[in-house]
Amino acid sequence: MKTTLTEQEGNSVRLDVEVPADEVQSRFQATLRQLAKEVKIPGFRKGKVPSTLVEQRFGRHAIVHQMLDDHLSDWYGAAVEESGIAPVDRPEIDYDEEPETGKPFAFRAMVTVLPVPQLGAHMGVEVPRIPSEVEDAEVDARVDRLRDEFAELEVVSDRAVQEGDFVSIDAQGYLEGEPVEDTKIDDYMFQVGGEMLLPDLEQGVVGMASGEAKTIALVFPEDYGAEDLAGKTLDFAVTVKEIKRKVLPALNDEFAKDVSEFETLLELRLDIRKKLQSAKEAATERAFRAAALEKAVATMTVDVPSVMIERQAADMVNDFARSLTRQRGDFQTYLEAAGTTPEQMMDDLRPQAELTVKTGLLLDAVVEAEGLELSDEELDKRIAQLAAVGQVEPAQMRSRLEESGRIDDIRQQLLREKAADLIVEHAVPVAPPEKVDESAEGDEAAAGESEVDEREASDVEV
Amino acid sequence: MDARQIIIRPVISEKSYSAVDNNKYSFEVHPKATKQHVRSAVEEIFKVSVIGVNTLNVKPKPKRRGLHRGHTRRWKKAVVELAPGNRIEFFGT
Repeated sequence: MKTTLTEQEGNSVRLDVEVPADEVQSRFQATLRQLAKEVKIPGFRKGKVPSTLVEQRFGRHAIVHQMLDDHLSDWYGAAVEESGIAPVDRPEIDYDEEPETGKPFAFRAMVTVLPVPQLGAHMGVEVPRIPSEVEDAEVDARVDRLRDEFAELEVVSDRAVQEGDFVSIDAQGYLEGEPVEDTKIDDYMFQVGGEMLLPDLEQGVVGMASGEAKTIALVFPEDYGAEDLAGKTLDFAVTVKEIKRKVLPALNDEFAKDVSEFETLLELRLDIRKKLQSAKEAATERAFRAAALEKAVATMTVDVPSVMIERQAADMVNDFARSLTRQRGDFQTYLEAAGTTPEQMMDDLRPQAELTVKTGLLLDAVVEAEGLELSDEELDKRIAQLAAVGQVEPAQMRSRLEESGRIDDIRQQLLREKAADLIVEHAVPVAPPEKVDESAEGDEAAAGESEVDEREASDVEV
Repeated sequence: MDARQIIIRPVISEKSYSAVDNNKYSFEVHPKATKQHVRSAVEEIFKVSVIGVNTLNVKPKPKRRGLHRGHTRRWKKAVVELAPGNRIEFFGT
């Protein structure tokens, strides 16, 4: 096979391929034989039709097209291998003359290839590093939340209902004097301001004493769940049965003993601080890594073919749909609930997809430029990890990966991780711009994660 | 009788094709045609030299489709042997 490679504008190449005459001939014959096996012609049992008769019956043209359908992609694949290009899209294949037996067949293929990035100063990018000190106030907030969780309810009888109290009520709704079905509630407890009921009802009981009864007019909102009530005004006869208030536990060693395995409040606080600290550090590290990679990507000059971004975005949508299915969700239901379409999602994901693609290109280029290599031990280690997750023997995992070709993906991913490590190592931490307080909430900062550490980006337990 | 009326169609089937290897070609012919008629008709139409003609009457086969009874057509088949070196292109061999 003769292949000529011509580079074109915008990461696309043109391959001119000439398939030798004997290849065309043998493929034509093979197609004919194949067809003869499959067709049914009256007077012959299936598969016993002479191929000459098949050719006569269907005409040369049809058989040639059948041959092209079957073999053009093989010929193209061979040409790709021969010219050593890395296509990222389906080729556009074209030819002037139909193949003829006894003559070589020429065709051309235009295809978008992997762009070659121009590396910039990706080593030593300056990246803001968010300090990860834990403020006393944060520990306090955490302790307060614990107190709130362990709070007890205490009956009050000496005062009226206040905001924040827990109130038990009986109620019945009336529409124009008639009781309305399904609006009767007995001994229903809620927190005033807890937004469990209609706000007017919650606020309506404020100021009522225990045992007091009152009628409250309630306007149901237009978008209320039960349609026959939406937009109507109902009179509710409400009786307050009981008022309770929340009593927070006292802040002492006793409290620490109750809520944790620690003996003293000081130990509890230290533990909380330690956990906050490590969570913050992890978040900082992730954010720093992501920011370093993003900056490094910006130093690179590359013209990314849009098809790569499209494909990446489509993959992301598919991954999302799959993860929903795994959690017993339904993608269609989600789309309806979120009021979006797969196309819309792809649009939204496009910037992220572009970053992912670019990061991949950068890391591959860095691997190349730095001559990074992967040792067998490193690969074995990752395979062992995967095997542990899948609960199979490492050797079995290895052969399975080799069979499916996934092992090359893993190799590439490990190399990319190495390149990313290198970039992050060389990145220069600088003080973050002002507004430190808000950005201290590390979880959001990790949102722009690169493909490499997506896996570790799951929420950190505090 | 005109040659085109004698030779009605070539018989294209596995059996007739295997006979081509022995230089024998099969045709459906006019029911009243004789071996002599067939010989001269084939020689005239295909410009070949015939060294033998066998003829047979294909008997109707009973066919039934539900309650409807019937039978296939009665027809005459001729197997024509050509002199070595002669071929009939129509059969594509």
